Amino acid sequence: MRKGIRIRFNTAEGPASIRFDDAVTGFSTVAQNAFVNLGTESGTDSIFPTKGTMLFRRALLGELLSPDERAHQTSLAAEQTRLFIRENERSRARALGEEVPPEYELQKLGLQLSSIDYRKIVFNTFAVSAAGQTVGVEIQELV
Amino acid sequence: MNPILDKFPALLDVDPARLVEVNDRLSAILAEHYPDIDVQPNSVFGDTVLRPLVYLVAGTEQALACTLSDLDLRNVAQGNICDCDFVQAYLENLGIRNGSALPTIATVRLTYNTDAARQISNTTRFLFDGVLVRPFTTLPAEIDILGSASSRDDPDQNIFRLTPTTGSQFYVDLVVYGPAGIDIPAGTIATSDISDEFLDSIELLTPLRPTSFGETIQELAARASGIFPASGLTTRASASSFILNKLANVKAVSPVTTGDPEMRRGVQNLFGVSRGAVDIYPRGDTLLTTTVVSRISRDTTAEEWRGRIKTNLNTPVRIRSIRTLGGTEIVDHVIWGTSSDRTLFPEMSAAFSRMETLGVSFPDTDPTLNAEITASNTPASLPASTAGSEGGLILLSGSYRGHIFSGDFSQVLQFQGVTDEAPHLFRVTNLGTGETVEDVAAEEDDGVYVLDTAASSLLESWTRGVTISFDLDGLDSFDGTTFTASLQSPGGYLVVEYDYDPVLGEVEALIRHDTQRGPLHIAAMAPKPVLLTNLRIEYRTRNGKWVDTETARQEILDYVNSSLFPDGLSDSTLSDILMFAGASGINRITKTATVWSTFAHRYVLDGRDPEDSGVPPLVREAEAEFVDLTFEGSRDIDWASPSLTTDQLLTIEEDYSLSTGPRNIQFILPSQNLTLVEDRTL
Repeated sequence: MRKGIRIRFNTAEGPASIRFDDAVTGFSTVAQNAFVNLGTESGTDSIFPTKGTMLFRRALLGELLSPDERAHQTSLAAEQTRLFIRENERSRARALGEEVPPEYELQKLGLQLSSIDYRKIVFNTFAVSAAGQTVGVEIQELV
Repeated sequence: MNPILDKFPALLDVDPARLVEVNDRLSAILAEHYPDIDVQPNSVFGDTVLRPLVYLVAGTEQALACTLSDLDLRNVAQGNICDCDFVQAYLENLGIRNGSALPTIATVRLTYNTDAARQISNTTRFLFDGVLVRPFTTLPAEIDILGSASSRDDPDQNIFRLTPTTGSQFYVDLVVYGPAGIDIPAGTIATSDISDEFLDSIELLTPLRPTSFGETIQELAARASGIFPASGLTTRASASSFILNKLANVKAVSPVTTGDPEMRRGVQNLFGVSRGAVDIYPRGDTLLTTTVVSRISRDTTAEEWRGRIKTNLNTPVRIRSIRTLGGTEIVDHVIWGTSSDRTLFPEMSAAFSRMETLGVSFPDTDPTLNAEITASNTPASLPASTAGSEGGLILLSGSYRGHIFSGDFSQVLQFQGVTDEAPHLFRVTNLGTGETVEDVAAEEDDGVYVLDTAASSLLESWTRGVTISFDLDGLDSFDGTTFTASLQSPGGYLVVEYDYDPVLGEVEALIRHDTQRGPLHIAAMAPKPVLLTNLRIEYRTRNGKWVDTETARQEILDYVNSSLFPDGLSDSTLSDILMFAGASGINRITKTATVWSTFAHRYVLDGRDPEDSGVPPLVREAEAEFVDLTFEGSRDIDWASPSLTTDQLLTIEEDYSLSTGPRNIQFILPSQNLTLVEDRTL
């Protein structure tokens, strides 16, 4: 089973921290990579030009205030991330001469507004694998 | 300077395609060996460990590719340079730098009207039509020009000697270098800053030709890539390209290396381990004809004239005549040969090089000839004894008889005692030539000490026929005492006219000057002459057609007189020349020639006159009836085949280190020996 180093979000140590004795396994590695990608600004990685999204920049520019625009940008960011993760998984599988196992295939990536004020916008994210695993919680009621 | 680290690129300068390729490679390796570790983009390990590693590897590979590209001189010559400073330092390692080239090398002749030793500065300036050239010598030191009677020159030590000509003039040829891009013809007279009232003229013997050695890094690299296919003169290809690249006057060069049948010498180092050798046979496009005057002795005991032929640094490839000053040709002569450096050039391997000394002897039985040769000198009898500077006596008996390799019929010698007890040793100096023989022993015999003149072939050539003894006459020892003796034989003058190739001296100067010798001994030698006595081409033409025979003749002469191995004398080339001149076909090509392995009729392997050494000389086969030790020397050949075969050349002599083969011969075609015969059909 695949294993990576867990990023601990929103702890007493800060918004994101790493502890090398704390691991993520299985589909959680894929989900974590997807969440990180959502928050990474695109164009910052010379090895992977399609890595990251414009979500953060759009937020800074105030383009996420309008619900319609917010819905468009979040959908776009989620889809870009999903495609990026899928391509990398497929590339890895090709190198090993395998197919991507369903538990590592990102089928759905969600990005829902949790709260918004003049200082920050908080999104709730969740990821669903092709095998039906879910990381995170899909909120049914939207703000 | 670290060629890799200095070129390590910033992250943004790394080729993105290389980054992706390295990332894929490293990811595949990790996935194969550690499939459980998540190294995907955005993972902690992927972004914080793998990604920097990708950058490091890609950057290193990019820097290495840059360095390898800069090491490929062909790349650099095309202008693809990553790091100019690195390339410049790299080329300097190979000895190539701005101004390091010797763009133009030529030969200059200094003619004096006195036969005296002199010295000129190594920075002497010669001005030809406003163009400055300087002497090109092995050592950055003064140039010694010795009198013509000196036994040998030593260009490695900047020592040259004068050659006497008819008309009471004496010349020395020096190799010079000048700037690139100039074109000054042979025969141009120069001015110089030499202050010598006896200097008659300074003439350019070979032209200063324009070359195009550049100064940019690309041009330096282009020159280096042509010069260093295998680093230096140690291989056939590198020797050829080295000489041809550096000397514009050289038209062709044929190197002979260890392993070739023409290579008959090797060199042993101090430990008896054989090293190899490379003989360079260069050829220019023009032979020069020169006339030299030799001072020879008349040996009344042997009834012979004898003395050295003073060719100095100019190796004869064709001896046109040996005459008296009055012009009478001396037909019945014998040419003697010996090697002047028997370590590097054993036996007869020095033939056709400056390391071969040639002498001549002929009978003195023709009174008319004797009168034409003799300088009308009647040498006085030797004094029985003469006092030394501090006392003691030098005792002389006998008469100086001259020597086959002696440069003069008059020898003024100084003997200086250098030990204060037996065995008594003397330093002998020839005051005329400046040469010295050290530690010559004098053995006690009936109260006097007899000098061992046979201890050195050089000393023997100065004293032959004279017994020299010393008497202490009250002295405790000879240490510090100096004696002087003047030995003279009846003598006269001989005129030798011969052809030589001046580029040989230029190649020799270049080899001595450059440090590319490596582990081999390298020598420049004149290709053995194949003198075409008859080249007859019968060609066809038709009525109404005109064949430009004048142009064809000149082209044939130019072709034959400048070709060298592997481009030997080829019938197809001769045919092509006639066809281009308008002929419609070739009926027949007839060739006869004489090929020489040495001009000598007799060869002594120890430098001594056989009468003194008791060792019979090697004798040319054609004259040897009852002699065991023979060599062929020359052969007349007649061939109709398209090219000369090795069998038709001289047999490779296995016993005396003499060799002639396709690699070390040159064809010489005098104009009068070329015949074009037309067959005109209706």
